[in-house]
Amino acid sequence: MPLLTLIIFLPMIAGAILALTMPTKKMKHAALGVMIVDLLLVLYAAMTFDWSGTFVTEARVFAETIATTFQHREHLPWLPEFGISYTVGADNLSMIFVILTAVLGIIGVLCSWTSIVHREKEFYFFLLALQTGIMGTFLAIDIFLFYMFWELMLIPLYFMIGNWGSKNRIYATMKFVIYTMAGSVVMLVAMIWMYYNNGAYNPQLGVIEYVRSYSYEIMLQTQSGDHGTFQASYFPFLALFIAFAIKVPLFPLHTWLPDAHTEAPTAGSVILAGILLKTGGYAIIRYCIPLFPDASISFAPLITWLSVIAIIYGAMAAIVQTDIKRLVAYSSVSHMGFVTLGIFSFNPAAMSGAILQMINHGISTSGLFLAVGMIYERRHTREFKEFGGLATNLPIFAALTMVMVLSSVGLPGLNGFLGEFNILLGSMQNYPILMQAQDDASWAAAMGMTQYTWLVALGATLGVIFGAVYLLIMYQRVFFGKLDNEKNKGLTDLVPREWGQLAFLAVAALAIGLFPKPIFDAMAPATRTALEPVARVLQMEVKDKGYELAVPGVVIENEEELLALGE
Amino acid sequence: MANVLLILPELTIFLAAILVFKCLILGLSVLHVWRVAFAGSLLGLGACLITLGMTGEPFHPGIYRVDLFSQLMKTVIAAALVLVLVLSDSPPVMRRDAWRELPFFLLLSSAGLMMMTSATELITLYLALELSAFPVYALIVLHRDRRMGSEGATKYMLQGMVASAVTLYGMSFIFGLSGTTYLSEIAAALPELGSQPLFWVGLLLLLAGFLFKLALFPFHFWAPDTYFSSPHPVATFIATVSKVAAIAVLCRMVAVAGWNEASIDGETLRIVLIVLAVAAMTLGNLAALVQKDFKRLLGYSAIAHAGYIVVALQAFSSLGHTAIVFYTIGYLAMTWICFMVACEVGRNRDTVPVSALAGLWQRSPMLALCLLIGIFGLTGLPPTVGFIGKWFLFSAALEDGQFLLVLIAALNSAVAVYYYMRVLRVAYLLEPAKEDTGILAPSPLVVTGAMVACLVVLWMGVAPNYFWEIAAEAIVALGATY
Repeated sequence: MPLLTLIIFLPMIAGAILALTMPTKKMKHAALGVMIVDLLLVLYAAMTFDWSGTFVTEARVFAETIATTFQHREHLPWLPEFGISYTVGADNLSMIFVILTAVLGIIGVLCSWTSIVHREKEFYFFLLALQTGIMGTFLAIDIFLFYMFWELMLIPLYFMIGNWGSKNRIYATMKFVIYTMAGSVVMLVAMIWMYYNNGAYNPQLGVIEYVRSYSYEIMLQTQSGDHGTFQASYFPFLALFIAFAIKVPLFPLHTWLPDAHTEAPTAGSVILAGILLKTGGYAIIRYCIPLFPDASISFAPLITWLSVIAIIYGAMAAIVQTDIKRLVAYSSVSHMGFVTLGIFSFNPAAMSGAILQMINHGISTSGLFLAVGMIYERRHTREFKEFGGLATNLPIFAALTMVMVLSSVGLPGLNGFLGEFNILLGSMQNYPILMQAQDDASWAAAMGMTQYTWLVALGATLGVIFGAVYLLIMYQRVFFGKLDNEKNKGLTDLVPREWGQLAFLAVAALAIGLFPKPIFDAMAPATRTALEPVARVLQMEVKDKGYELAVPGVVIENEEELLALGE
Repeated sequence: MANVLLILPELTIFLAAILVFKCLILGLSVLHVWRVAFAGSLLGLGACLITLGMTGEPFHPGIYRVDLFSQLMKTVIAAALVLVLVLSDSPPVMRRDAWRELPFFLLLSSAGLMMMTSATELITLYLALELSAFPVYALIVLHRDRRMGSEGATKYMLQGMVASAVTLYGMSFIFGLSGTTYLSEIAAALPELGSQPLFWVGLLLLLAGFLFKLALFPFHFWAPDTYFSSPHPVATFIATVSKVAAIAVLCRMVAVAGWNEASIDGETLRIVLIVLAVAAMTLGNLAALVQKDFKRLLGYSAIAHAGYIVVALQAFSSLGHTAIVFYTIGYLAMTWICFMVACEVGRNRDTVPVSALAGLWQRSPMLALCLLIGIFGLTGLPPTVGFIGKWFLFSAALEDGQFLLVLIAALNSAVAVYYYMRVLRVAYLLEPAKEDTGILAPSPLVVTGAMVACLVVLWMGVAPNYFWEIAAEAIVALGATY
């Protein structure tokens, strides 16, 4: 059964059929049904999935047979003369995000239940189409196909923000589309470049053997070996990275985010913050790091510093906001800064922290956006000064929002703490070898600013503290104090549909916070695969200095061969 | 007899034109004249399909070549002609007394365009060029607003005349150097000719007339103005049908001059093409950003697209040529869709400002959906042919190592997103203006044409294999000649 294809295309196709056949009033029920079926399919895929990270199988890419670690893999030649195929498959990394997507998809429908009142059919169609785009982005393992899905995500959101957003929506949606497209066209050039330059040096023959293919699996084989032709290539790395960094978003490419998040309808914000930003982080881990280990190492210092700036800047910008939703949006910039920081620390702890941080951000920020949406639906304003003392007449709402706020702040016992802690831990340990080898001028030059890793960690820690400041101030202003605004006195507490969503996220936050082991186990193989190419590049240099491992915890197989090749 | 079969498409269109002329003399009603013309164009399309597999030279050897390349281009021209005629059924924007003449001129010009794709001799080529141009000059004047019509026609005609004069001038250079007007003989003499700088000057001057039709910088000035001030169906014709023939001739001339390994000096031609492509893309996209009129915006977008096409043309490779043929087919469909929307929305308007599209999704969901597909195509978003076609074009240039050029092209298409999305924003996100809230109901024929065009745009975008193979075979046929 083409399980993954079904997971990817079911929402959009079912959405199109439903939009054409269903009566308007029933559309939301139908959309919810589709999302639930999709989640069930995802859960089935997850249960039949080998999470141990030892899965390897023989698979075909066109006429070739290769070893692959992707499961539930489907392969159909699409444009064989250009090495393009429809190939989808899941590994630990993508499976985690696919589950998150399926869960948040349901929440996306539920939170629109009463807030979307005009052009309902179109709205739910776009929501379902967006689901298809995101699922495809996570599951495609042919970079051409990946690009198609990457662009497909853009179109539904353009309409969702533009049609159902708030006052300034048209400006926000244009900005969002232009930013994203600018990134992706350059990515397109990089991908074509990769197609023509995909090859590895064959030491026996002394020539570069080119393999013309868009298949990620083939690229991974030629590149993660040694002497792949991408290895010292900065342009394609940068092009891909910028496209992904716009989605993440990394400072200074973040300016579309506060506008888009603030103007989007609640479901749009939830999907944007909860999943869409993750496609950026996912793609960096999937494509940038393993395919371009050399370039990743070279740019790591710069990216690390940009991440730190994003963390602090996002937090400081959040502190001064007067609009609750805009505050949450800026908090995303800050939180996602941790993700890029963790990824480019090249350290298993930080890498798994980064993946976890993405999941956490998906849970807690979605929860906060839901909460803002619920307030907005009741009062049609999001200004702080309109609120105060809501805890007295909305106790359930106040309690559940508290959990979300604390999870976002990073309180131990909830999910947020684990992600940020691991990232800080990892980035502190960043290049322990390099820190000891500081006297070596060439290392210092190659690594740029990394000898100041403690400064990085310090900056990031400051960001955590700022996070507590703005989120708790927000909470205090909205929920505590006297209920003195007349308009707030008549507000009603949450209905089961509403608190159900928040409670579900709260339980998830608590579960991850208290029992993180299953998630860390699931992430470990993903972390290892992502970091191995980097470790291989660093290993040769490190051996000379008498150290065992370039990246702590990542053991390289066939090390002797590697060293022999290096000589 | 076999020879007659070879020129069946041109013959059919010509005969249809003559028949329409006869009908005009007999004083048949508008509807009847249009029906005759439409039937003639359908027959022409059928004739093209019949001759698709044929190869041969119907006239004196070396003058006129029928092969898969020319026949494919003719098929595209015929199909586009059918689509344009669908929109040309008594358009209110033209003078009432000109309604009956419109199909006649369109058929005549198409016959000339078809001959351009087959001509392999300079004088034949020139005659075909002129035959295709004159009817269109006449058509623009027939705008119901006489001032506007004459302005557009004057601009188009003056520049067109200059361009074809330059072409003739270039031909005289080449004839003077080589002593022949046959392309095959020129190709054979290329090793000798190619070392003379004057030959390349001549070739570039020769290309001027066709670059003019394609609206490539620096022959682009007419495009936005003429699109703006022509009656909508005529603008559609200029933007779609006449582009195909220009691209066909460019492909043929570059195949003659550039593919030959002996022509080391072909590099000169390439550098000129690169400069023109960069200028056209940049200028077209930047100027389009500030346009308020939809047709004018499409005019600047056409200049930019001419640039994208030349990005692949300068690769001098069969991949590049195949990409161009492929993209041309898709571009035609996308542009037609956009103009179809302009025709329908601007049915009773002299001009179609972008603001006239406001609230299109309320006035006609069908047209709004078509516009969405067309604009996504021009923007280059998957799953339309605009994306995969552009990707082929860029691939061709990158295969050749033209990295910087492709990067410029890609950045240009990022700039273009703004103005294309602005059109969609108006159509989808704004409410209709007070004065035009009426429902738009396109005729069933237009709806059918739109469905076919949308299908082509999506089909080529999702499953390009079939079209790609035909384009590749056509280019093999073209390359085999020289």
